[in-house]
Amino acid sequence: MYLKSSNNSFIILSLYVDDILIAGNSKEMIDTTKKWLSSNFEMKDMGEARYVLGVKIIRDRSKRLLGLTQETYIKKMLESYHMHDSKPMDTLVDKSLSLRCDMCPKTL
Amino acid sequence: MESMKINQVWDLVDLPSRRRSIGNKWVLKIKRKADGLIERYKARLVAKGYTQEEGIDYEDTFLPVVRITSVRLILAIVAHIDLELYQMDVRTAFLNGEINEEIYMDQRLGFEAKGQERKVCKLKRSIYGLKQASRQRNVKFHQAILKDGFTMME
Repeated sequence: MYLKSSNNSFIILSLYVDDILIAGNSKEMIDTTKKWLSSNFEMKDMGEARYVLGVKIIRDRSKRLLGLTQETYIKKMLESYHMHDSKPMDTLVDKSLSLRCDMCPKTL
Repeated sequence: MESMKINQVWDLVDLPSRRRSIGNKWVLKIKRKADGLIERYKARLVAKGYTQEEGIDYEDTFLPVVRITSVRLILAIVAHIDLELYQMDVRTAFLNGEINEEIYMDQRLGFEAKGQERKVCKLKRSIYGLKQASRQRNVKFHQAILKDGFTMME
C-alpha cells in the first residue's frame, strides 16, 4: 500500500500482484498518477473499480453507499457443485442482533 | 509472443559449460472476465521454475501483497469520505522485472530459431514460472513508485 499527498489532495494506491486499486480525493491527481503509471508500465485502465480481488464493488455515491459482494464467487462455487439450479432460501436472523467489532473472526 | 519481442526478454547464446538450461512450456488458457464471460484466449510461455537451483538461478522469492483487511480499510475510507475509486491492471505483469542472476532457458518449444537450434535463451527479464518472477517485477514497481513521490505504508 502506498500513499502520496500534496496540498489538500491525496492518493492511496494498493498493489496486489498486478491489480492496482487507486483511491483519492482529487480526480486530477488520480489522472496524473494513472498517466504516469501508463508511461512507466504497460497498463490497462479498468476505469472505476468494479471488482477487487474477485469481490464486486457496488457504489451509490449519492447515498454514500459502498457494498461488497462475492456473488460471482458464490455462483462459481454453486456451479462447480452442480447446485446452481437450487432454489435460494432466506435464512432467518434475529433482527435485534447488532454486529460488533468483537464478533469479527479473530484469525484474519 | 508480441510482448516478448517488445520487452526483449532474452538473447540467443551458447550455453556455457557447467551450466544447465531450464525447460519451458506453453500454458494455454481461456481468460474470463470477473463476471465469467470469455474475454480472450491466452498462450503463455512459462519457465519450469522447479528446475532452477537455489543460490545459482535464484535467491529471494517472496512478494509482498496487500492484505485483504487493508483493502477493506481503503474501501471503508472511500465510502466514508466519498473518494474517487479507480482500478488498473499491469499487463504482462511478470515480463517487466529485470533479473539479477544469469539464467539460461531452452528455446521456445516449436519456435526454435532456424540454424541456431542448439543455442539457448539467456534471460534478460523475468518471465512467468521463474522462482523470482513475481518478486522482480514488484521490486521494479516499488522503486518506480517511490520515485514518483509515493511512500509505502505498513
